[in-house]
Amino acid sequence: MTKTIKNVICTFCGTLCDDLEVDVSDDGKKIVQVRNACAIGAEKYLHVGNPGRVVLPRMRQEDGTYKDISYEEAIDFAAKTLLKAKKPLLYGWSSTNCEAIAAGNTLAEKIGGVVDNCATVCHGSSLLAIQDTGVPSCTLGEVKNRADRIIFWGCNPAHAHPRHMSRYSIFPRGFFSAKGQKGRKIICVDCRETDTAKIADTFVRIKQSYDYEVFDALRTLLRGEEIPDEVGGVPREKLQEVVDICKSGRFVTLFFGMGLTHTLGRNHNIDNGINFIRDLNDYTKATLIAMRGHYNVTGAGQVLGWQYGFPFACDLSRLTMARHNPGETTSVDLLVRHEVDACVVIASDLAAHFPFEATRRMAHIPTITIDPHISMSTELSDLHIPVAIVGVEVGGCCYRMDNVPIETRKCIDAPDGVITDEELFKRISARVDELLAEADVKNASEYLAKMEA
Amino acid sequence: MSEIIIKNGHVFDAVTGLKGDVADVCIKDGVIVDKVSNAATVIDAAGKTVMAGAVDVHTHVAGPKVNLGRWYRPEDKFRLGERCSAKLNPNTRIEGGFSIPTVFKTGYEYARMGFAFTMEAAMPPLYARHVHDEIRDTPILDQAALPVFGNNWFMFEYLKNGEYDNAAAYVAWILRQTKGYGIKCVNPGGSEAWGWGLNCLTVNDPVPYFDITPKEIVDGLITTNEHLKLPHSVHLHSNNLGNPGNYTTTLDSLKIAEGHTANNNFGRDTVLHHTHVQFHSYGGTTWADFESKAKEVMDYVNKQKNISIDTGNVTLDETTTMTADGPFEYHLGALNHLKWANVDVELETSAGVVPYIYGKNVKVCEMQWAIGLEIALYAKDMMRTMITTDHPNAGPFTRYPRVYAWLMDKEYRDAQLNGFKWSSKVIDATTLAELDREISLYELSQMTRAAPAKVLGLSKSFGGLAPGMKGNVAVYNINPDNMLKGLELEDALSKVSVFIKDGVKCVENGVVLEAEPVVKKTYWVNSSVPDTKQVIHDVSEKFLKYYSVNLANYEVVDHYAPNQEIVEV
Amino acid sequence: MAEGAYSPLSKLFQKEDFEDWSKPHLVGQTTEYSSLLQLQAMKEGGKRKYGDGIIVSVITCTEIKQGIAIETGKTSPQYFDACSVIELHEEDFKTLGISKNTNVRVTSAAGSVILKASTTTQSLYPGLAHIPMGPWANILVPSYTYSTGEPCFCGFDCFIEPAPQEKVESAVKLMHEKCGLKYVGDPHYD
Repeated sequence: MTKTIKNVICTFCGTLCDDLEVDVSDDGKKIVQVRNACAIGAEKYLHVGNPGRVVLPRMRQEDGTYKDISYEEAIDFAAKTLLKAKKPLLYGWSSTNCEAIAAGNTLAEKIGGVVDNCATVCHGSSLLAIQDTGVPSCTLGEVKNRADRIIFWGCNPAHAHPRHMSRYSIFPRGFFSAKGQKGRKIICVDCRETDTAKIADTFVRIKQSYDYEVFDALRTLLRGEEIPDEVGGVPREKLQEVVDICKSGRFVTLFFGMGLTHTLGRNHNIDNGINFIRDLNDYTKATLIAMRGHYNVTGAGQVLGWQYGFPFACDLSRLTMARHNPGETTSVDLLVRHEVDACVVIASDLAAHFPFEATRRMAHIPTITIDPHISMSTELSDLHIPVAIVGVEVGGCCYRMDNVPIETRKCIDAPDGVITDEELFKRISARVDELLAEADVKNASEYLAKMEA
Repeated sequence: MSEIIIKNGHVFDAVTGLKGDVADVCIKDGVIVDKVSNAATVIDAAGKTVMAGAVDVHTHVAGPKVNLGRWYRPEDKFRLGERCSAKLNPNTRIEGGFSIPTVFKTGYEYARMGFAFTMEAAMPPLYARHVHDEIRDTPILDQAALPVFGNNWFMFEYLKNGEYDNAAAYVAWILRQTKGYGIKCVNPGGSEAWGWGLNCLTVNDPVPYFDITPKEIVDGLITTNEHLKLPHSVHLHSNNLGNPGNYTTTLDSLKIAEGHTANNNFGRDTVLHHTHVQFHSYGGTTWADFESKAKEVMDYVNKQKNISIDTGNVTLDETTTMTADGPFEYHLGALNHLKWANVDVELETSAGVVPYIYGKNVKVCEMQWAIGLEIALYAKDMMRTMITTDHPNAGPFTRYPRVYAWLMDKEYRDAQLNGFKWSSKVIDATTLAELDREISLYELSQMTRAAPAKVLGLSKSFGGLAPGMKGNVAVYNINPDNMLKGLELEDALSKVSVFIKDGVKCVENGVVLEAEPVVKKTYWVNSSVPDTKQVIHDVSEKFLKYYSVNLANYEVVDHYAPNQEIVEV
Repeated sequence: MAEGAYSPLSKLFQKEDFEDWSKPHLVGQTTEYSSLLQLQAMKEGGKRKYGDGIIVSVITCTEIKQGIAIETGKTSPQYFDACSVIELHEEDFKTLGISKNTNVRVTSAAGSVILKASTTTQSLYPGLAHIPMGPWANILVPSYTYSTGEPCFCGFDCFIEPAPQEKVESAVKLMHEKCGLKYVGDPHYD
């Protein structure tokens, strides 16, 4: 007999669907079936019980193999590694819950590290733009209930946020949008005609990396001024069509992704996009929402924000103040310039998603990866510590792409002995306290000074 | 257990009626008591001022718009004081932020000023988890949060149809779901209109589609609030904030309280609390003929005994405005061309954030400053008038001591007034120069302790030093016999000699001792009014069709508030 | 040719030997950045063909099969199949003179790797190529961030040459060898 757990929150992407139904075995140990999830969510939940799950920390040996060690030994190694480092990087945080992130921040402050999350290689550009320009935004339910003009720019939800269009942006029938898709006009702007573009009513193909110019052209047209015959590979008539569609709507929402954050111009692309939406507010209601990738990258930024005042790239290594200087305190730059001497990769896969130059550096400094599964990072680390999967084996708070916080649910028990991220960080913190007391010093910088003396 | 006696201080306390009398204050096991044994720790307060821990009735320190402000203003962290030094003080976490302090700094700074309780002024129910996340991480301070109802789709329907049973059941349900404390109403109707880019600027402007007016909303909320017998009254941020000539809307809004009577078992006798009245007391028609209507507004407030207010004083700083009055923030951003952030929340409310510089050389800002002080100086009943800066909108809460000093020392405020670039215009357009009144220490203790506690329905625990009340005591280096003035007064008020919270000495000479042993509590109200069939039906239906989260995932579960103080009604 | 080594033709834009990876990679002074610019310059006037190969602009994005494969396991065959490909427009296949699913050597300012060239359902244009984000793509991604923290994930030039005799390598092996770590075989995927 199985039992069904309803209203389960899927912990894969920033859409954070909260309507999953998970059937678990009677003993509460195995997931049998998942309903309402997209292909990725279903894969996540159904593969949890596969054989070969890592249940003990693994330490890399001289000969390249990995040897299982106890959590105690792993925690001791982690504490010592972090204390010995002058400026360790603690990166990731995006696929775990806020409770773990808070515990991790406490540890990072204690040992004087740099805390950075996946935004640094994802929507960091958007955050920088928001720091310059602000952000006229709304919750996803507002889009569902009011929006009649949707623009997808540089994002491909059909592939990256599969249920976004049916839950929020294209298909749902809301309070003021009872006609659903028929009452909405969808515009897709991209350099490729993606699967999302195929669902859109209007597809605008732009030349790769010309987003800034095209936003500029749209804003110029909005003001009734002239533009050249073609901007960024898009004919003037097409751009005018886009402006007309937006102006004629009663609620416009722009969703954007890596096509703006990763391309030439970075934050300036989004800056111009935000200003386009702000300008549109002179004619009609307009908002924008960043398509956050991981299910809790937003939460990682929120916790960091209320504790230290910054959304990512937060350098706590001075112990007395928090510093934020993108380009200097961001993970890729720190690694590439050899400015960190130890690394903790938590709830993310640095080695799979960072440019290789950064990964190579990570492989050559003491690195600990904390992840339920084998990943590229675990195979380049000195130590891999497995933890429980958030949203499956442990609950905890996660923040959706529109910053709405949702409490995830536990469906099954974690494998015997496997602890949660939160517990792991608390125990490493406690071990650090012990080591500081043993060395008779008050803080991490005194510890380093003593070790060097 | 632990006993403390604070000896020989000059006690200012409206609850026990002490107006500077030299008296001892005794605490045992975290509670004020009549006397303690000889084993008690002695704190010598001779020549010092002793008051209960202060209560902030309205401040924005926790939640989504606060954090958005932190995210998008890295420059706000650029100002570092000598207090941002964890290395020097191993008891504190890293602190940061001037106008929007981080949660650690918020707790420590309030404690350094002698505050025991703050009310988070606005909580969008959908984001309640976020508010509680931040409250939980704020050290020392006891806190509560007010969910917003003034633009809520459920309330529109119930109040339009006069269904007060359903309205009450829904409010009770929200308080339980969000662990909220009372009814907050921001720009009634206007923030829903903002969902279409519109607004409600008078009490009679109907909300698009829902066809209910702000007057009907506020009136209905007051009726509902008294029906529920909640500890706090309706807490209102009325329409038309910040616009020249808006004092008429304010008076129209205040008049809604006429005819209502307070109904509760918490000692509250007001039915409407209008917040940051300074922003709502403007005359003139444009910025050119902008003038103060503080006297007109306060004449009414003084006369109408069932309303209370807080001032919303401008502190003349670069700060960040943030409010659930979404349309106002859009217009402010268009006015000063600084970065505008906005978040509309489905079915519930909207919010906006815009930085603002209250320039000392800008005529309107100078006048706003004067108006805020006039509001307090015209007040006749200090138990219905509280001092705030609508933190961070009119200024950071760390400037409270400066506001107190301006109110308590005419010379200090006159120096500011006469030093303005446009001082003659300010003097013409306001009446501040003619006001000689100086708020006394006793009146200060009313406005910052007893009054907010009473209005919040917390007068049994906070705001006073009577036996049975919480052991929250602040000792200041102010000798009433040799009264400090100006900057010295301000410094003394911003750095307590001793602050005791729940019987634990946690700040000494402005330095935080140990934040950990102080158990902060999250206060919320649990009403016994049950769900009605209609509400159960409506809630299920709206969550299924219109919300973007499921009903089962809406509630704030217990671990968000590890130490709850539930006020049962 | 050894996996991860540069082709002789890449000397066209990589004038200096920056194989000494023990040195910090200084932005602005980096040879990687100057290679980036040089590749761009080579495209001036619309000339993309050099010898056997062509220059394309590469973007690296999420793709549904890659997303699912992440959950299957990073060392799974599904992940290998999903991520070790470069999607080209049909015309670029013709210009290169190869049929689809042929292996190619792709070299950027940052590195060089063998990938399988395939067609796509997400419609490109000639001169635009897509590699699903993952460890193979990141061998090529230049780490220059323009002081924003974000490297050049989307929109960097690469030189593609046919390499039908060469094998696409497992990511773990690739990275271990390039890092100078001992490779003892692919770990299981769970």
